[in-house]
Parts: sequence; structure tokens; C-alpha cells
Amino acid sequence: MVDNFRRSIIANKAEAMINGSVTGDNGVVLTEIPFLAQVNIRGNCEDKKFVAGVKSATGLAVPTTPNSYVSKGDLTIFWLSPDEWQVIGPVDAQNDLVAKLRDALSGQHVAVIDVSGNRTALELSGAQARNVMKKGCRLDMDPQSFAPGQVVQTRVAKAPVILQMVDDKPVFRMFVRPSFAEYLVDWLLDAMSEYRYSA
Amino acid sequence: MLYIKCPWCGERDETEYHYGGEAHIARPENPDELTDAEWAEYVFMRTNTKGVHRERWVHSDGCRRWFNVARNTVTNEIVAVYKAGEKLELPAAEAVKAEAETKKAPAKKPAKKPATVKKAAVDKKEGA
Amino acid sequence: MTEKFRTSHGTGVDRSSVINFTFNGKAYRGVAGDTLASALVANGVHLVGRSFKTHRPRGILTCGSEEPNAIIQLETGPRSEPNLRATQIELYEGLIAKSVNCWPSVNFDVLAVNGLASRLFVAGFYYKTFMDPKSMWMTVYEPMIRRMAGLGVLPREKDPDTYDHMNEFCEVMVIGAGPAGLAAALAAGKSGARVVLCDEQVEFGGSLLNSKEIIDGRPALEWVASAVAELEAMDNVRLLKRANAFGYYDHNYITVHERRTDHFGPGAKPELARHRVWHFRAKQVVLATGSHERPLVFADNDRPGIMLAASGQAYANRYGALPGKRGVVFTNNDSAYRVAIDLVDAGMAIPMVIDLREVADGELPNVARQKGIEVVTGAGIVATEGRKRLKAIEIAQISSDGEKITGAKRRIECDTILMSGGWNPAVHLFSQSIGKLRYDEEKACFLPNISSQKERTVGACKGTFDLQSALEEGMAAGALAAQDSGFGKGKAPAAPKAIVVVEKPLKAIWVVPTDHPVGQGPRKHFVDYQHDVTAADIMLAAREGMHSVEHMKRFTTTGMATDQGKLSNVNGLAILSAQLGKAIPQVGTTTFRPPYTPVTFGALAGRGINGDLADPVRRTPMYSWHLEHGATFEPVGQWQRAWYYPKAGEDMHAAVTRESKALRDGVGILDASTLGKIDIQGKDAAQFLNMIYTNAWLKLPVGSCRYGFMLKEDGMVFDDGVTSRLGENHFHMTTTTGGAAGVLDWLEEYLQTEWPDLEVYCTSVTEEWSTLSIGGPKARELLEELAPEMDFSNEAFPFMTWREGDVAGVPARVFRISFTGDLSYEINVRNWHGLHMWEKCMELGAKYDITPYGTETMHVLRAEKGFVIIGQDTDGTQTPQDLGMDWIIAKSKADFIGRRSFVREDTKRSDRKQLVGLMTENPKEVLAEGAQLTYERVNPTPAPMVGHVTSAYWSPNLDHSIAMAMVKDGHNRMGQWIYAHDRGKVTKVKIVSPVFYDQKGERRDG
Repeated sequence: MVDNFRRSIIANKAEAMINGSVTGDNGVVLTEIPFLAQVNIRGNCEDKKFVAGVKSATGLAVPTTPNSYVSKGDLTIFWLSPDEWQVIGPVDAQNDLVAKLRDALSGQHVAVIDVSGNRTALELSGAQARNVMKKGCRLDMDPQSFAPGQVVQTRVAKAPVILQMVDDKPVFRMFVRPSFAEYLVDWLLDAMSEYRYSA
Repeated sequence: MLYIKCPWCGERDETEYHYGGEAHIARPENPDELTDAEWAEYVFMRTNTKGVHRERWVHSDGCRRWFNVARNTVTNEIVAVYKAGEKLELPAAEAVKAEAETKKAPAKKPAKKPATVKKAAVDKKEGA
Repeated sequence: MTEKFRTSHGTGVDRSSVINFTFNGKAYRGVAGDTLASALVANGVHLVGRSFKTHRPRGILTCGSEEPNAIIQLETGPRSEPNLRATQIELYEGLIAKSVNCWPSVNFDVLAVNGLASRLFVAGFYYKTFMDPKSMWMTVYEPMIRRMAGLGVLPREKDPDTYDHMNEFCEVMVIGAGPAGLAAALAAGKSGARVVLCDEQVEFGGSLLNSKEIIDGRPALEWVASAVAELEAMDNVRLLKRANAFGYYDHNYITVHERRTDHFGPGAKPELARHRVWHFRAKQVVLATGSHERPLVFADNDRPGIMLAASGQAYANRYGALPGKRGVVFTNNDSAYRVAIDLVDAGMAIPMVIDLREVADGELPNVARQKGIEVVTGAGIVATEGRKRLKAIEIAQISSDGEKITGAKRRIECDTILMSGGWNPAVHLFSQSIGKLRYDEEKACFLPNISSQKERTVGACKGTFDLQSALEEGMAAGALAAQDSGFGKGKAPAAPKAIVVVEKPLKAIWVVPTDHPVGQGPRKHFVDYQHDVTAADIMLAAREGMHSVEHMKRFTTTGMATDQGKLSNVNGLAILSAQLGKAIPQVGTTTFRPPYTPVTFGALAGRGINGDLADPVRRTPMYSWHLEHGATFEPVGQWQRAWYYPKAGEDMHAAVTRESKALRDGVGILDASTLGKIDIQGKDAAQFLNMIYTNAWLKLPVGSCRYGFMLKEDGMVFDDGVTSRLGENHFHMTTTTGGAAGVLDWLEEYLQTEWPDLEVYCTSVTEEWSTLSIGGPKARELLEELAPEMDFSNEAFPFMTWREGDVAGVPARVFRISFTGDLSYEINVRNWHGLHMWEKCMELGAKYDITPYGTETMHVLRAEKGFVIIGQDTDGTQTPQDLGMDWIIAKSKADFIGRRSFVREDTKRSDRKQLVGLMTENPKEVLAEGAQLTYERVNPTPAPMVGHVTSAYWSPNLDHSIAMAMVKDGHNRMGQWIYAHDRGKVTKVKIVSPVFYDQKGERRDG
């Protein structure tokens, strides 16, 4: 079913993101990936029934290493805390995911919550993406410290985000609360400005 | 700015955390049995440690876990970080120092009622 | 103008590349590699400023960041910058600079008359002179002080440049790229660790840039060049020039201010951030910050032409600019003999070295003698002449205790004094890191003693003043720092070989006598040049009881100027110690605080200099609609909420009046998306809510909602909201907009630390849901149109229940709750459907004349009903009883957070401040929020305050002004008249119930 009623909160920024991005070998590109399915899971990963339930619903074992994620097909599970995970899936997958997870975990002390609207995703990619991240993020962004397979909750500029390192091109994904999205886009575009000149 | 190692997420800037005051002050299980003075001790009174201080922090921007930090209030050196409900034994020298510093401050012991909720009770007995 | 003092040498300048500049309105020429100061020296310009209080002529004293005198205003217009040090400004074509503290010009300064009255300007001058009457503090004294003491001028225009910040991590951070720092970086770099080397200067090399040292048999600068080349070739090393490490904070957090484009001239590189602040976290730090030469405190030691010895050497060696035609060296140590030798070699006449020591028989004094320089020992300069430039000096033998002149005076004509009182290690960053210092008697300076962080100090900063040892220390520290951060084996590479010259110890004479006792004649012994603090001022401070160095500092303002006392602190401390008859270590030193040198606000602001980026602006999904429809916005924390929607010609009052009536008469719509929302589930969820709210939750039916108060353990209200039962073990909690994050932390605190066995999960869903509040007598009709499948009748959907269904084509949760007192529904839809739902409401509501209203109208409507706003009507000192809401406390519950505090004496007092309504005698007069209240119109002084107004509005629906207030014993004083005070205006008001409108609550069912 196509949902004609939904609107990205930063639809007004689409053009600015295209104009502010720098393509090419030394560039940096900012885009929004709206409406991704996001499902929050709370539970006890030391309980085999819980792990098995999530596995049967998603095909993935919940990651137990802090700051890591696992992916298979179009599903990804982020570690968020010792008892909290977030499943990321394709647009419109949330109802099916919630139903399957609730079914597989029924009777356990868990929470399965559809939070697809709670954040939107921004993607920052290109050779200069790491430098742009360093301007706004106070974590060690060097490749030996932050690599594909890692996801952290932190801040970029002053916006709280879930920050995923997708691959080492590099591609970063920031899951940001919608209310902060326009601020964060404006901030990132401003931080990218020096690379627009050099490109 | 402090650099605090969250027991789960690793080292992060202080700005990702919120401070939660002195650690190992368990909520009395039966507040009605306390005198006003004892209750006020629990609610308001805290040690003012010069030296190693046990305190709570919450990783608000990260995993939202509350945990304990042993921090030297003179140098800000973080002696140890441990999870809520965990036990911390300081190296002997540190412990002696911590005790000496605490004795200098006016005695501020939490309410005498020992009975508290489960793990928190364990915490308190082992606290500084 | 020609460069009369330029020589054919100068290792750091390119004489073939001419640069034109203007100083104080006059055109000059310099060359590539010059600083503004070196170009002025080359042109024979030494008079560069006026002193702070007495406006005495002042000259260039140093060649580095410690400069107290050559403080200038650079450029004009929006890029103008005040209070920069000429010694650090790189010359560029067309540079325009002028002195700051003079009017109308540095040559003729009107306020120099202050110098004639300088006896008035003694220590504590400000405290003593500008005391009484108090009425003149702001009107007369402050403007006068500002005009007299003015430094530069801030530009009025918006800063056109950009600034940024960069966060980096490294294993080894080396600060200072002199010989020790370069060695440390080389050793650490070879281990493969991430190394950062930063230096405030334009080039790496530190002191080697200024001297003529030999390393490995060749000029030291060749070794520097090869070391830098080797470092540049390492991928793991980051080199930062023009980068001042200005702060050393906890846990090896170091901030560095890099000037990226200033040397190209203003606005020359618009694509680059002009300045960058680097934030480094280093596993290990090596401080190689060098040392500052110390001035000698002698009579009239501030005339233009008096310069620190090594700075004079730097001007000659590095910039090829002689400090004068004929100079003398005045010293208490061997290092200044090097200066005499180099200056003679460069072509300057140096007839004499005056040495405070009785004996000068070291290697360097002997070389000087061989050059034909007269060495006068056991002597000092006891007077100087010359107003805008030094003309002559008088020297005399002085007693070995330094107390008095013992021989005849001898007059010598000269235009330059090159002075050296020994060296102060630049321990500022070490001190900022909470490292502990010790005083070294032999070197007469403070040295790093005990580190507080993972840090090592090397070279001159550690008191290691000889080159060979500094190189070896650097190599060793670099290797060990790398090892301690997990790289390499800690073995230091071999250090290069410098020529070792043994220097004899110095002799500290802190005040050189003159022919009258210090402070009693016309001659002045300056200690702090920038703040005009003299030895006499410090002695006076001691006599007046300022026995602590911290008190002396504040009383005299020693070390409190923009140079932060880099040159004056130790001299001042030593003079204080002598006056008190104590040893220097007993008196101690003041604390160094960041920044090491001043940093522009733009750099600190970074991208935030663009106001919109300074702090997040949080927007709801309907923000764009509000904007397009003319809303004005009110910041609520970081949120921008629609405040009111003025139509053409309406002011705020008119708009709010219209909006308030529209809701009571028809239907209004409010964007309430900012409310905090928390999903709470688990088998113990209801029990948990029972502990954190004051009322009872176990029996709340599924499908129902309840309003609750949260208290802290002290019994005081800290948040409120409506929580709804979604399922047996599942709740949807709402919090105040501002309280959302704090409430979630607080819930987790209790769950994780007090009751870890409770099976409850809390998850923030604040932004999962957009919330539209639709209220007014016609709200039901609109809802029925929006959701034809749902039953909105009072029977099927009563007050304080919620229902789920399809609204306007999207899934929604509808809550029947009311903050206005009228029939009201809150529609919650997924964030990305918020705008659609709003537009649909406006479309279908058109026939009911639906009126969007903002937070101001919301405040008015809730105040008409007496509903409190946490944080406006409360301030963390109110119990529910104080708010007149005993009903919200479940008496049956044995425990909940805060309950025990209600039986404490203080919370039981009947005369606590209590929430009441206020009605003004004049119905049109709206009280000021924050107005203080008294029981009587006329009061004794001080007046007994009995409370204050917390909320005050014009109520269009009552056609009367209304207010809410906290009043002492207010609940017992209904009907009583009291008085509100607002800046002299007194208003008579009556205490009434805070429920002003629809007291029976008949409107909420429509």
C-alpha cells in the first residue's frame, strides 16, 4: 500500500542537500533516507528463548557486543544497550516486523515498539565524510576506532543520533529525531562548505 | 571535560552523561519507620569527599544505563567505573586514603535502616 | 620609509620580497617572514603603545606571545580585531594596524597627564577612589574607568568569517615544536602511534629559530628542517603550525586554536574557516612549551628601547632587524652574553654588559670580553632617560644583598637595553593540568614537580635550559609516551649532538635599587607592564595586609591583563615574599587558567557564530504550516512552538483574544507534539506507576487515562502529565515538554538502581507521535467528520478515556483529555502523518471556523481553569497540598516517591506559600508575572514579602484580568485584599480561587 499521506519533516531541505553536496572523488554527499521501518526491542539476551524468538522473526541473532550491529538481507539490528536493540528494515516493513516479533516473543518480559516515526535517517558519504563527522562528533572517528559493523549513540553537533558506519567508502548513517533533523541538515551543510570550494 | 568510560559503550565525553550524585545511598524500604531526622539524612545529606568519591552517572545520550564511578575529587582522576549492583574494592592505598578523607568531613551516614531493595542493599553495605 | 635597521642577514625573512603596510597612519615597508613587530623594529619604530593607567610611552618588549606592550588593533571595518600582539602578527601586503591605548595618537596622548598624577594610581586605586557615593558607580565611575583604561575597539558589524571545530584523538600529543618537542615527536612518531605536534609560531623550531646554535656540526635550523621533513613523511603524525594550545583540561583534553587564514590578509580565503579550534583527547601528553625570559625590575625599566635580551637576539638573527644603534646588556645570568655576542656579530654597537653578579667568569662572559665588550660586574642600571625612546642610562655598583647603591653613578648614552633576569619555564599548561609546581632556588623559577595527568614535561619548560639535555629529554619522553600508549618499546632514538656550553648560576636580585627608596621618588620599577603595576604597588599591598599572593594579585591587578602576567608573576611574587620576609615557596604562586593566550569569541563559537546553528532548533512536523500561516514562535527549551497566529493588523493582544474566544465558542486546534511521551510496559508497570505518581494506578481500566503528579523525594512536585492504560501491562505516559528527558532518566534511575527486579521497560516515543489538540464545543462534530467509523458520544467515549482508530485515513490514538476545560480531544498520529492530519483538520474544520491557537492562548485558557504549569507556577518548592491538590494524593498507598516528606515539619506548616487566584481591583489591569506581594499597602523596610505572581493574563472570556500566585497562608485568606508591587507600582488585588471559569466543570462534555 502506498501511503500518500506521509511527509518527511525535511522535505523542504531536499534541494539544499543536492546543492550542498559535492560529488566526485574528493566529495561529500548528504541525503535523507526517509520512512525506514524501525522497531525497538527490549528483552534479556541471556535468555535463550529471547534470542531464538528474535532469530525466528528476523533471521538475525541479536548482537550482544556493545556498539555493534548485524545485517542480513534488508534487515539490520543495532545494539543500543544491554537490553535494547533496534531493527531497521525497508519502508513499510514495520507492521509485519512488529507482528512477527510479538508473536515470537509472546509470554516473555519484552517490549516490541514500532518507532519508525521516532527518527529519520541521514546518510553522509564520500571521501570527506569522515572529516565532516569529525567536526561535529566527539568520538574517535579514525578508521582503526570506528569501522563498518559499528553503531553508536552519541551526538553530532548538538543533535542526539544513532550513528552507523555502513561501509568504509565511507558511508555514515545518522538516525536523528525528526525535530532535530532540519538543524542537523543545516549544520552538516555548513560544515561541508569548505569542500564545495576545493571540489 | 571529563572522559568517562561507560561500562557498556566505552569512553565518552562528559557531555553525554548526567551526574546522579553520591552513590550507595539506598532508598529506605519503610520510610514511615524513620524519624524526620533520619529521613532528612536520606533525602538531603551527602558527604563532601576530598579524595575518592563514589558517585552515580547515567549515560543519557547512549545506553541510558546508570552506573557508578569512583573519582578523586582533587584531581578528577577516575579510579574505577562499575555497574549498578556491582561491588568495588579499591586498591588498599586508595581505600585508606578515601576513608581518611571521609573522616575529615562531618559524618554523613545514610539512614540507619538497613533493609533496602535487593541489590541496592548489597551496594550500600559495600559502599565507601 | 626605508628599513634603516635591517641587516643583510635574517634566517627567517626573504629580503627580496617586499611587503607594504601601515602603522598608526604611516606607510612602512617590511619583508616576507616579518611579524608586524619585526618590521617595526627594522624601521626603527619602538614606540608602539601607551600603558594602561598612566599612558606612559611603551615599546616592543618581546618577540613572542608574552608581549605586554605592543598591543594593536588590526584592520578596520567588520574584520577589525582589537588587542592583538604585534609580535605574533604575520605581515601581509596592505596590512593596517594601530596602537590601542592612546588618544589622539601614540605620539601625543592626552591621558598621559595621568602620569603626572600617577601618585593617585597606586595599588587598589580602583577600590579606593571609586567607592562613594554608590550612586556614581554605574553613571560616572564605570564609564570613566572604561574610557581611561580602554583597550581596543570591537567591530559593530557581524563577523563575516567562518570558524570551525575539529575533534581528534591521538596517542601522543606534543605541545611546542622547539628542540625538545621536535625530538619527542620524532621519537613518538617512529613508534607508529598517532602523534600531534603543535606550535603557536609560524615555523617549527622554537628557540632555535632565534639563535645561532649548532647541531650535528651544522646550523641548528638545518637539523630542524630535516626533522620536520621526517615528521611530514609520517602518515601517523599531524603537524599544526600557528596553533596555540590554549587549554589543558581534565583527562588529557587539550584545546588548540589554529589561525588558518589570517596571514593571507582579511577575507583572502573565504572558503576556509578563518580559525579552527581543535579538541584533542590524547592518551599521553608531552609538554615542550619552552620558557619566557624574565624582565629585570629596575628604575624606569619601561622606556621604549628596553627589550628582553633574547628577543633582541631574535630580531637580529631571525628577522635581520637590529633593535637599536647602540645598546647595553643588563643581566643576572650567562645567557644574555650570547645576545651581546650575536648582536655585535650582526653589526650593533654593544659596548657593555652590566652584570648583577659580583663575578662573571663563565665561558660566555669570556667570549664577550674577547669581542671587546666591557663587562661590569656587581653593578646595575639605577636610572634611565628618554621619553619616547631610551637616550641614556646610569649605572652604579650595588651592594651584594641588592639593597643599595654603593658606588658613584656612571652615565652611558644608548638607545637600547637588552635585559635578562633569568628564565621562567612556561608551566601554564602544566599548571592547568593540575600538575604541582616546586620552586627551584638555583634557577630562581617554578618547575613542574608532580604530574596529575598522563603527561611529561621536557626541555626548557622543565628547567632544562641546555640544548643537548633538552634534545635527549625530548627523545626519551617521546619514546616513553608512545610506549605507555601501546606503541613501541620505549627506547629513545639517539639524540643529535649540540655544542655544550656550561653556564654559571644566576643571581636573583628582584628589585634593582635606585637613588631613592622604591616608591618614594619619581622613578618607577615596573613589574606588570600592561597593568602598570610597580614594585612599590606590591610593597604597599603587602603593607595593607594582602599577604596571600591571590589577594595581592587582585588588589594590584598584577597578572590580570591580557598577557595574564607571563612576564610579571614570578617577579611580583618574589617582591611580595621579600616584603613579608618569607621564602618564595611559602608564599606560593597563583593559578594559571585557560586560555594561555586570548582566543577570539568567533573561534570558540565555531559554526555557532551563525546563530541558527549555535543550538538546536527543534521543530514539529507542522512547523512549516505554522510558518506559512504567519505564526509567531516562542522558544520552549530548544523547541520552537507556535505562540499565536496574528491576522493582518492584529497585535498579540488582539490575536490571543480572538483565539481564546474562538475555542470557547467554536473549535480551536493546537500543535501539542512537543509533549514528552514514554512507552511503559512489563508485568510490574502498574505497580511502578503507583510508586512514581502520587495517586493510585493499579485499578485504572484499560482504555482510560489519569492525570498525575511526580514528586522528588523531598515531596516537591517536579513534573505532571496524563498517563493512559493501553493494555493490562502497557501504558502511554506524557510529560511536560521541558521535562521529557529528565523524567525518563529519573524513571530509569529508580528502575535500575532501586528496583532492578521490577519487570518494566521504558522507551521514549516523544517523536513517534505528533499530537494535535482539538477543543471547543464543536470539537466533537469535527472529530465525527474526521473519523466517521469512531463513536465520539459521551457514553461511548467519555472524558479521560482513549480510543484507537482510523482518523483521516491514517492510524491514530485519540485521547479525550482537556487542558482548556472545554470538550477536547488529542489526536496522536505517527510523526510523518502530523502535517497531513493538521491540514485535514483545517480543511474539514473550515465550516466550523476552526481557529489555530498557540501557546499563549493555551496559557490563558488553562489559567481561566486554574490549571498549573509545572515550571511556571511551580519552582520545585511546592507540594501538591501547596497547589491545593490534596485530592491527587492516594491516602491509601503505603509508599510512593516523596510521600514520607509530607509529614516533615516544614511540609506540614500551614503558612507555606500556597497557590491562589488573584483578581485586580481594576478589571483592565494585568499584573506583571514575578510581581512581589505584601499583605499591607505600606510596609516597613525591608518589606515582608508574602509571595509572588506566577501567571497573569487578560481573560477575554471573563472580560477581566486574572492571575495565579503563590501566597503565604493563601488558602486561609480567600477574599482578602493584598498588594502587588512592580517596580514602584502598587496594585490592590483580591485573593480568590484559582478556578476562574466554569467552576462546575460543565463544559468539558461539550
